[in-house]
Formats: sequence, C-alpha cells, structure tokens
Amino acid sequence: MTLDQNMIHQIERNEAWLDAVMPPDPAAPAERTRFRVRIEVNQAWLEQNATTDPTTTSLEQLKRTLHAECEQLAPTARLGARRGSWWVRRIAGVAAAAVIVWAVGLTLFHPQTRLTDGPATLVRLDDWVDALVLDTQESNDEAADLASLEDRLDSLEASLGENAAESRFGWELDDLGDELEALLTELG
Amino acid sequence: MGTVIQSEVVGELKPEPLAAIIERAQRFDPGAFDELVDMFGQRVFGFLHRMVGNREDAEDLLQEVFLRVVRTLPRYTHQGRFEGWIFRIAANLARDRIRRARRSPTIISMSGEQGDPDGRANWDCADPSHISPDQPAIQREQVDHMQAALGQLSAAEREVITLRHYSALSFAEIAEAMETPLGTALARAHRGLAKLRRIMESAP
Repeated sequence: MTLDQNMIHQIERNEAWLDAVMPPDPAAPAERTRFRVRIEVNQAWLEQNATTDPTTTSLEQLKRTLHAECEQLAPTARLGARRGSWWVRRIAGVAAAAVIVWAVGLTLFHPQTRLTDGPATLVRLDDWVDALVLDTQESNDEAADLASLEDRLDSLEASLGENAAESRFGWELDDLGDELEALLTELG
Repeated sequence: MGTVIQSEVVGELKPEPLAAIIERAQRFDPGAFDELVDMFGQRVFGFLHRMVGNREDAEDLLQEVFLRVVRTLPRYTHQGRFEGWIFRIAANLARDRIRRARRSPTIISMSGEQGDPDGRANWDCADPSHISPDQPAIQREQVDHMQAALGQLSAAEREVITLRHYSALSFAEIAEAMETPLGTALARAHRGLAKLRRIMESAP
C-alpha cells in the first residue's frame, strides 16, 4: 500500500466515523428562502424582459416618471422598488398617479390643508403600493390579487379619510374610489 | 428527494431529471427554483451551519446562495455538475463571511473569545437555538461537542471535511472548488478528520 493509498484508507475510515457521530442539523429556513428567491426571480425576469418588451419598457419609464414626481414633491417619500406582474404595476401606476394628482391638488389649492399633507399621503401611498405588490407576489391567483387590491383600497380610503381632517375631503376620496373601482371592473 | 412528474404510464411517478428543472429555472420558472431549494437547501444549510458555526449567519448565507443561483443560472451550462456548482457558491460565500469576520472580529462568540486568525471568528460553540428542550440531554451535549470540535479546526480543514460530508463531491471536485491541488485537499481532510476524531474521543 502506498502512502497515498494509506492516507485515503484512513480518510475513509474517519469519514465513516464522522457519518455515524455527526448530529442532525437544524431545519433550513426553506419557506423564507423560497419567498426571497421568488422575489428575485420576478425581478430578474422583469430586468431581462425590460430590454425587449415595449410594454415593460413603457412601464419602466412610467415608474421613473412617477418616482421623479414624488422626489420633487416630497424629498423624503420613496416609491421604492416595485415588482410584480406588468398589469399589477399598471394598476399601481394608475392608482399612484391618481393619488398624486389628488394630493397635489389638496396640498396646493385647499386653503385649510397643511403643506405636509402631500408628503404624508405619498408616504402612505408608498406603503400601500409596496404592500400590494408583496401580496401579489405571494399569490398567482388573479381573483385573490383583485380581492387584495380592493381591501387595500378600502384601507387606503380609511387611512386618507382619517388624515384628511374628518370628512371635508370626502368627495375627493369618493372620486378616487370610483376611479379605481372602474379600473378593477374593467380588468374583470 | 426531488420532484416527481406524471409518467406516461398511468399512475406511475418518476423523478423529474435535474437537467429539466434547471432548464425551467433558466426560463425563470419560480416553481423550478422552489424545487431546487427543496432538493439542495437542507444540505447546503447544513454545510453553511458547520462552516460559519452559528445559525443566523447560516440562514443569511443560505438565502444569499440561492439569490446568486438565480442571478447566475442563465449563464450556467449544465454538464451534470450542478451540485458541485451550488456547493462551490456556498463555499465561496462562507469563506468570504469568515474572512470578513476575521478582519473585524467585533462580535464575541458565546464562549466569550474573540475570533482568531485561523477562521474561527464568531464561532458559536453552544448555538443551542435549534435544540429542543425535549431532546435528550446526551444529544444536546453531542451537538454542542461537535460544534466546538469543528470550531477548533482551521477554516480550510473544516471546509474540506464539511464539503465531503454534505455534498456528494469527490476530492478532485473539492480541490477544484477550493482552488487547491488534490494533494492539499487530501492532506487537509486527513489532518482535519484525525484532529476532529481525537478531540471528540478525548472528551470526558
């Protein structure tokens, strides 16, 4: 037996010993890993298709435009990285645009509105869009997505209602709600 | 282990070949990545846990491994060596983490000692987080003891031993992954295993 063979023989014996005495491992965090991987896969898919798909490219432009508007209006507000299927992003984009228009109007033209209301609304909008997109990523079921969207709309309305000095701006909220409801109906 | 697909023969199930899962993953099919996590996640996690010595870092690194798989898989060419590829990513990330901990050993291990220059920084000897209180005391002792014994090896010895234990890689593949000559990998395994056995068997 050569020296190398002797070494390999000893390694094999010690490996058999290690297999016998190695204690079991803790369970891997599989669910959390799968979830993070799914987000990464969506992002990678979007990035790959953004260069070839004109719809996605337009959405990327829309996202950049909205983001720039938010930056200008409220330096501390961030729309953040939004992910999800293209139609969810379209809904989020339209909803974001509607709320931005409403917030700008409220901030600039209503004499009783504090100037900080606009940025605060954008921060809430940011949270809402992020939560919506995260919810959507957790499920591929369109019905569930729409139900989730409606729930989010309700909570957004409630949140905006509380912060918009009682019900003085109820009509703006109703308009926004109607607009989004129509959009949901159109999407089926 | 692995996924199954419906065979052409009604009622008979057979494993979907890894190559087919990889091909689906390369088209960004999220289901394919779930299957890869199921197939390799536990073993990669075991390897990382033994390498870095604490559960939190191992969990963090496990996610990093699969995120890197997502990013680099489109450029991967499958030639039947996927396991070596994924463990190589895991080994590189674990090595980086150990190196970083060595450069800034600000975290003190549970034993109260700071990291040493041989890759034993942040070694969480006790790490009892995953041991159920219901487990027999002897088993808890065994887990603590193995963690502590592995912590006394050099990072390179630990890497070759744990890679062999958790993956199905040959010494030649491990040497390639560690970018060392085959003789060096064998010597590290020989020396490390002998040391590990001596430590374990000399314990009261």
